[in-house]
Amino acid sequence: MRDQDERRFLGWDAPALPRVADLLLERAASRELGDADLGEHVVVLPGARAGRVLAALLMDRAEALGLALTPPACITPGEIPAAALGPAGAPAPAITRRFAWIDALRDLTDAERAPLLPIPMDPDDTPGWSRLAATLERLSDDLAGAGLRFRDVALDESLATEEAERWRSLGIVQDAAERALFARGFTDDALATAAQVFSDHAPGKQNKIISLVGVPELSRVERAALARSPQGVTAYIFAPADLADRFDQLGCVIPQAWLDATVDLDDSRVLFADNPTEQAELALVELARRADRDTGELDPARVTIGVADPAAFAPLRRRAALHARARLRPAAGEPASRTTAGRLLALLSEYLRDRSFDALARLIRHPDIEAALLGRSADSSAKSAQKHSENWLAPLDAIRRENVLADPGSTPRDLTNKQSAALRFVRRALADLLGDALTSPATRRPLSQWSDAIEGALRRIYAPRELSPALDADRRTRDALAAIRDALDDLATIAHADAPAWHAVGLIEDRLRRVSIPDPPDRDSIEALGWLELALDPAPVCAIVGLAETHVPGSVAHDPFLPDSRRASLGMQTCDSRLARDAFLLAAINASRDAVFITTRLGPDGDPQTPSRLLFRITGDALARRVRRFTRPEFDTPRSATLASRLTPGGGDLFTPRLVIDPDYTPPTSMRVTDFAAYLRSPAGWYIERVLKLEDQQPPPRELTPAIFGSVAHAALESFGASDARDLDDPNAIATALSDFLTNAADRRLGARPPAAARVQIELLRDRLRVFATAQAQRRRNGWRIAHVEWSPAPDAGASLDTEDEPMPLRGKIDRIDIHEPTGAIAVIDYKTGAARGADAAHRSRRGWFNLQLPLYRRLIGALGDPPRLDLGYAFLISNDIAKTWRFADWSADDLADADEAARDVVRRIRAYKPGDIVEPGERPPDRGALGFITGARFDAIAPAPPESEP
Amino acid sequence: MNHPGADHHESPHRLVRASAGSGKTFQLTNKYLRLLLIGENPGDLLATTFTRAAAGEILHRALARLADAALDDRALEELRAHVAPDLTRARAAETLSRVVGSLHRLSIMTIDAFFARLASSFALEIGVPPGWRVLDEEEDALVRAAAADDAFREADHAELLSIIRDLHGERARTDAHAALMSVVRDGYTAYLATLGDDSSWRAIGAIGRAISDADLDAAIARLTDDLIPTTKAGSPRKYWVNAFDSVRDCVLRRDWLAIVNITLIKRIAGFESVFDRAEIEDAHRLALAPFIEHARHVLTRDHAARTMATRRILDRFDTAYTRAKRARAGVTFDDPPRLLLAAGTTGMIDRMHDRLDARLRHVLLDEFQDTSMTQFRLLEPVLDELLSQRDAGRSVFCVGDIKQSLYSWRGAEPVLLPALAERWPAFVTESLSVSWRSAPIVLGAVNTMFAHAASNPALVSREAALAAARAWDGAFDTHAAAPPNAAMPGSVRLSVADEEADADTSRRAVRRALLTAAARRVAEARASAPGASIAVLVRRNADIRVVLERLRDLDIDATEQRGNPLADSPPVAAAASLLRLIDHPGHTAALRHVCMTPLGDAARIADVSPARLRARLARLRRRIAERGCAPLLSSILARCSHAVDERGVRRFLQFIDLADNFDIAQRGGPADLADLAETRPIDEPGRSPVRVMTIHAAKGLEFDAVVVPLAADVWNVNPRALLAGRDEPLGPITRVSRYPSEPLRLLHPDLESLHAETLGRQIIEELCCLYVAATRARRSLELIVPADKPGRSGEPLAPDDWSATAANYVRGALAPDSPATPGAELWSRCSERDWFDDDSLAHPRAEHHAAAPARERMPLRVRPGADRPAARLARAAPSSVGEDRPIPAASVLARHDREARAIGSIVHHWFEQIEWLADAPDEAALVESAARAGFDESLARRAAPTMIDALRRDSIRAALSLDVFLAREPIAEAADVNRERAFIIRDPASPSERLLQGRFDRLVIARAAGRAVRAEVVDFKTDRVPTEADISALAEAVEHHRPQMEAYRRAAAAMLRLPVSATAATLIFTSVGEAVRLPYEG
Ligand code: SF4
Repeated sequence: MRDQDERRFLGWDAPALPRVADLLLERAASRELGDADLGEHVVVLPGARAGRVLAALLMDRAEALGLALTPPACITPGEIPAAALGPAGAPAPAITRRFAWIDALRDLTDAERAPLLPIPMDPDDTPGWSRLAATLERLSDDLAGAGLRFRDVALDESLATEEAERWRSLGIVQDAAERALFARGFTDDALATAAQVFSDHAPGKQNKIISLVGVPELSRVERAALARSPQGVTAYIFAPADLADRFDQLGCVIPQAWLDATVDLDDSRVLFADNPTEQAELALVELARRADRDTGELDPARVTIGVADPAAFAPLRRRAALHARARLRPAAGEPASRTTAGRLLALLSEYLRDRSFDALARLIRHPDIEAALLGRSADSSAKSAQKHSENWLAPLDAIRRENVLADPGSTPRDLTNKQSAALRFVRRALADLLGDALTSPATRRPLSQWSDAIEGALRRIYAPRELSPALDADRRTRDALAAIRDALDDLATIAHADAPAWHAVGLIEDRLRRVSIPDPPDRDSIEALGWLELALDPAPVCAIVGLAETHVPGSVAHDPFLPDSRRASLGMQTCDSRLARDAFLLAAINASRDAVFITTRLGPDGDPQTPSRLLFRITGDALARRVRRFTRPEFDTPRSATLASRLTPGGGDLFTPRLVIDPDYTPPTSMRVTDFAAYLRSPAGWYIERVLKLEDQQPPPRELTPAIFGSVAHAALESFGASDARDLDDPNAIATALSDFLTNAADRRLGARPPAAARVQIELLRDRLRVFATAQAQRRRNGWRIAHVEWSPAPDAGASLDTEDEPMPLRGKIDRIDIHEPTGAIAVIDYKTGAARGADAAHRSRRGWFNLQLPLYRRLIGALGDPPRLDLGYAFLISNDIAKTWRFADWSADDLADADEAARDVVRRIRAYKPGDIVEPGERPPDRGALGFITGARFDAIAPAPPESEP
Repeated sequence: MNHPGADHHESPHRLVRASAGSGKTFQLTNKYLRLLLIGENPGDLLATTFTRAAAGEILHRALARLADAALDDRALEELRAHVAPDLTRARAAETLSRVVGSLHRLSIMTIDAFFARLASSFALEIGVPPGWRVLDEEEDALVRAAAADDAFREADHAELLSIIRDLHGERARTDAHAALMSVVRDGYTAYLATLGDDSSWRAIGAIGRAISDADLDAAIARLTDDLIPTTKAGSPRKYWVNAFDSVRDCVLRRDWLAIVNITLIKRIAGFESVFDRAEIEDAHRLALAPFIEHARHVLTRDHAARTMATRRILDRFDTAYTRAKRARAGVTFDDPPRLLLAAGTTGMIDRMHDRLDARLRHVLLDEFQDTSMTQFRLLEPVLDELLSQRDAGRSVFCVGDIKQSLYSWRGAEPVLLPALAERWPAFVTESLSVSWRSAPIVLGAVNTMFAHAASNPALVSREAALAAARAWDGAFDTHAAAPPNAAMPGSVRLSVADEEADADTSRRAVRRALLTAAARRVAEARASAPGASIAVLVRRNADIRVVLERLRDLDIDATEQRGNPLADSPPVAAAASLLRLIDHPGHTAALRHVCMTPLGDAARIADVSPARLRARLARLRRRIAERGCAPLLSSILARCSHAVDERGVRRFLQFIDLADNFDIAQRGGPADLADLAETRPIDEPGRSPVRVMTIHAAKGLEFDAVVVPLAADVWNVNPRALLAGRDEPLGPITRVSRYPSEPLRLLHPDLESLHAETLGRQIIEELCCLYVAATRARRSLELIVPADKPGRSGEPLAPDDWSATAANYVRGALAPDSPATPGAELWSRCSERDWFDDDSLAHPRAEHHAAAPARERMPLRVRPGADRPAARLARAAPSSVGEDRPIPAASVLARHDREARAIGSIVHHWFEQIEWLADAPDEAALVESAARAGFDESLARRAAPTMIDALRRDSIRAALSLDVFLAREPIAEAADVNRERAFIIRDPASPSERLLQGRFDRLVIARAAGRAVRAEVVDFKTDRVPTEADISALAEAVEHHRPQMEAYRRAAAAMLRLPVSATAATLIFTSVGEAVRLPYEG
């Protein structure tokens, strides 16, 4: 201990900072001048928040004493070297530094690389290199804190040969990265600081008076820097003087003295919950208990939530809001990557990487892009853009689903005008926003160029936007944009390294992860602090959650570079030193306030977890009892209270109402022949799909769905039937013709660049058409000629179903009508791509008709006259056996009359519906997607059926 | 059998074959405790098991038993009996304290977690991406699907097409992507096991001989009808004639698959001697040999090619998948061991100990039958090292039950367990077959069912099945009940399902009938024993829902073990639809769904015009992007909780938690969250005592009553699977093949033997499933089989003709001779007392808790708007005070000119150095001063002219001149200059809201009689805003900075306790050399 240094014990029966404020003012106050000048003072505190609190306390106390305060500089331990010795150079900005490390890694010779990376990495995998570099940067900083460089580690004689070689390689990388930074006028901050602190000549030139307040641990470099400070260092220790021998001269804990120290938490203060949810409620109950007795209210300034495990925070915050309308504010803020602007970068990077339709769809849903697009559509004078731009999401969704569009650059010809206008607009507007460089397909360019391109894009995207700092969201966007600008500045100086655009955007996004954006201060919220900030927090009440071993003291059992034992021998922080530190913090928190300490038996993922050892620093029976409380819930103290929630569960089945006919229902004035099957399968399904025309949206397909497959097949067959080729009777010629029609149909539907899987499916379809060609040739030779395809009766032809009431007009489109030239017989044929089955099996079961399509076709074709014979049937496109292609029904006149009667029954029932009537789900209601929820069929499969459901 | 607590002095290494219920985990925990109690360092022990829950349970149990022993004598006795005979309470307490002190060093984990730990220690050496994490199921599914897209894109189109065609075979399928995904699902494991070496895929190549066309034609010519045997009447046998015709036709069409499907050909290829009651003679064989030989050649060649093609497509997939995972820095659970192994483990042990910072001296392996070959290979050197020594300071304790191997689909190799003893003779083998779980009646049935598999009629007809059954029998020890359970009542019943009402005999209907019967058995059990835990164990996931549905028809509330998705709760479903709608405004079904529920009003989307709806949805999209989905869902719940029941609220809260995690992980848009709600199974809090689950999920659990519907599905090799075989149990995979159809097996002995090997494994696995299901029961076991279907003769099949199915197996073991008529009871045994006649039936914890006394409901109310201490107030720097006005977003993006900024700070520095204006400095002095402060010299040289110029300007000179100052402030007796002085004050403009904190560039205090009387703040603006020529620009700049200067004045006034009117502010624009004074005013 240097003579000029001093230790002062604050005791721990009260919060530390008010006392420190008094002591500092005492030191600096000058009655004559009426001021308290702490301008030459530097106060080191373990966290930034403690510094802010101390400054505020100093201000209040100075004001009370009538002194003009010049506050001290409050810093964290990492800033000690600069405060004591001045800056060690110009620290490199993060991305500049990152690329120095990446280059150094890539420049290793094979021999140098092998000990470090026995499996070579792809040289173009920039993100991979970047992650590796990030790992090494952290390692470098960590060691530099102990005053060490990689090559120093390699000198350790106890290392195995290959480990020593690895460290030598690492040393080469570190040296090269540092040299590269020097060459560009920068330093590697941690290395430069270590060098400065330990160099023989750099004199300590900052003549500051340094105080340490409640700092439990310091790195070697920080200690050395303090030792060079010419003024004395005062350590204010948050502990009673009788524990003096547990702290060193700088007030840090002496690990050996704390490792086995008991910390006698009262049993009532240690609480075990089963899981994070219960923990959240427990913590809130504990706070509620501590409300003001008179008013029943809790003063948010008097309580703090401690969050040892970050994952414990979300359920707590959510429950506080839901049950009690209480707001919790994370003092540490949230990473900028989670802001709206941060998300924009993530989506942009993904889009630039994949250039897929799905990535585009996500990008244009981002509100800032959406707003920019809207702005463009309003600007654009083109009428079509005006008309469609307001709602391009739905048409684009439809294109993605119906045309299996995976590549947003391709345009299927089958689109409706509205769809193609939407697609064109979005494509063009997005290209305008992003600019040429980002729009052009993936190329590698120097990062400095990307910096400009990205800036340009962001400026255009944000051009219409005004930010009002009074609005929380705007303020966050402003802070995030500022962080993005800094990263762009950084990127702009890197002209020598090139990367694809998406990675450049990714680098910025990565930076944002490390920038924290604070929530706005909110006087009425309860502050939530991390473990290390808690001890110096002045609030008299505190509930700490998430005390699991992996978080406090945060033991790591393994490390790819520095296992704990090596860290110990290198004089770095170890598991033991962390434990000692946290034991002290726990003791101080426990002694200085009304605190409860909570952990859970199961972790956030539902698996058993290890509680923090700190909760068990007692001995004998007390320890055994506590262990038993934890491991055997039946021995745990029963809970005496639960949180009163403002949520008031009611009852009833308001969320599973029966489907009823809408008020504006009028029975259909005509029906499609397929409507009957829909109704027979499920009245509810018929109502929502055919009357209300609700559309469900399945996830975007990766290949043709069976429906699209069928529809492409139909299109090809329609073209065939409408062309001269229909009269061919040579299987090969037919196959060739069908193949051409298929190519065309697929192209119209799928665009020029369908997904590869879809192309394979089209070939499978071609196979089937080839089989079909043989069957068709045979049929043609047998005298059957295709007379019509996609045939519908004229609206005035009077196709209808006679009923006891008005006749019901029928609509429908028949895939194909054949005429048998020798006899004049007619065949009505529907194409099918599914599994082949007989026409009767497709219409009737033992329970009766469930489909009436073919029988009702009879009524549609009335206009074609009265043929001598009428065949009703299917043509299956099957992959092998041509004998199964044609499947005609052999219904008798009675059968058909029976079918008509079934149809009349459907009409009767449909006409009988009144608004408010319940529509039954029927035999096979839609049971998937949102339709399944509407019919309730989805709940039937997974949840109790709604009461009074059908017999 | 050895007493569990007995000590062995010969060798410290144990291999324990522990049957179900024999206390496997108990044994392992005993061993673990024993090691701790003799003072072993917890860090030197590794205990692995198969699930994280089991690992956690071992830890919690070990701690609990130590704590119990330290506190009460009965527990101490228990521990003495099983672990350490001379244990004292003091030592238990001391050990507990030591263990609790080293919780962080305990390695009790899943074997996957152990390898993951190892992999992260060797990340660079084995090539996992730095900073990796394990992808979750949904993420992995997405990555896989995308990788399949890539594989398609990169594959050769023609080859791809042929593979897909081939995969579809005869089935009328239209998919391609889905087909590849199914190959991946069924074959990727085998692919990975043979990564980098395709020799095993080539091992079963083409055999047979290609016959030239000419020779084939000649052979056809020789195939004359006079070869055909005749009937007694002398006419040629009809079947032979047909067969000959078919052969000719097939050869003509070159349809070689069809030819081997001709029965005569099959007989000949299978070396049988009779066809259609006539002897097959050598002449026949000779005449038909060329066709068989050629077919053999063509078909085995094509099959080999298909196998290789499958490998190629898997290769493509693997490349794309590996790349995609790498891009996300993700791995799947099975990557770490594989990569570790691929990187080579030789010499790894020492380095492993080094990086794990531990020297493994005792290894305890639970559930060893579930170990995969890869895992075993990695463990091998560790085991080798430990097992080569016999000192008590090292030991291996390995527990498993080959009868409970259910994880071969995940690559588990059950044969490893028996092979261990051979590989390391140092193992002392123990066998535990005393059950501490089940009643004697149940165990009796288990013995009857599983002791003699080799004589079970369901297995005897197939050679491969029989071989497997013999192996099974060899590993089976007769089960007995532990003494405390000797009198436990029990019941076992084998019964037949009722027929469904409409006499539908389709397979689906049979299955439904079976599952309905299971639900009825549950209802009966529940009626007899309302407190009992009951489980229905099914073989297939899809059956779970059917059973749940049937149970609900019977008014029985049941939960699924792995939980249902959250959307089983209607309010969550409505919220999920709202999320979908937000993402997809065209989703009319979702819109309707939401509007049918109270959510439509809560979200304000019901009954609004399309344009307003669009606007509203866009606003919600923004809200979600800004704050996430969880807050939106919270506010919705708060608004309509009155319309939701208790269970709904619980489920909704879980949904909100899910949303919070989803928001934090940033895994997509609102529709993706809806997907999660609809697919990810999430356990429901407060479980019902009736549970439905797959047998796999039931592993490790026990129930008072178990109901097992036994399916009539034939135990066969999955035809989509890839078959892989080893020459030796511990050897590498030597043969891989696509599933060979029956004719191929007939033609190629290697395919036949590979198929038989696979079938044998399959049968063992099926037996394991049955065994696991049966042994979950404590007291009651209900086995149900479907009713017999009449065979072709109209009579039920005789047992000798039974195919291998679960139902037939159990019938064969218990009641081979009873016909399965609907509703019949085929076999039953029960104790004198009813199985439920006992009040010791386990009570689930949920019910236990519900019985607890009512608790006080505490409200939490936060006092709003109270006076807050300064520490809780917002802080502002004067420079940000003026920023309350809206600014264009793009202006935030304005980039800095680095150099201008650097020059600015140098100039700033020079101004800071000035106390009062003295002689104008020269360039050299300026540069030197800047250099001393750490600035770049050349920049300083460039900045110097600006400074020199500025100091010549009158306004600036005046602003810095003591004379001028004193002249202006007649009352001042002295003036002191504060440079870079910090301040913090309550902002007088809003004292209860905000603090002002910052530094004055320059604060001049005029004093009279030592007291401050006036103050002037000087701020240096070094940026280049206004130009000299543009006076209005300067005025604008002044206005721009005015709020800031006002804030400075307030700060100075508050600090010095002066009225604001006694302060002034001066702005010095260095680049244009202009000082502007904002004079005193109130
Ligand atoms: S203004 Fe927009 S968000 Fe607000 S209620 Fe109307 S439609 Fe909804």
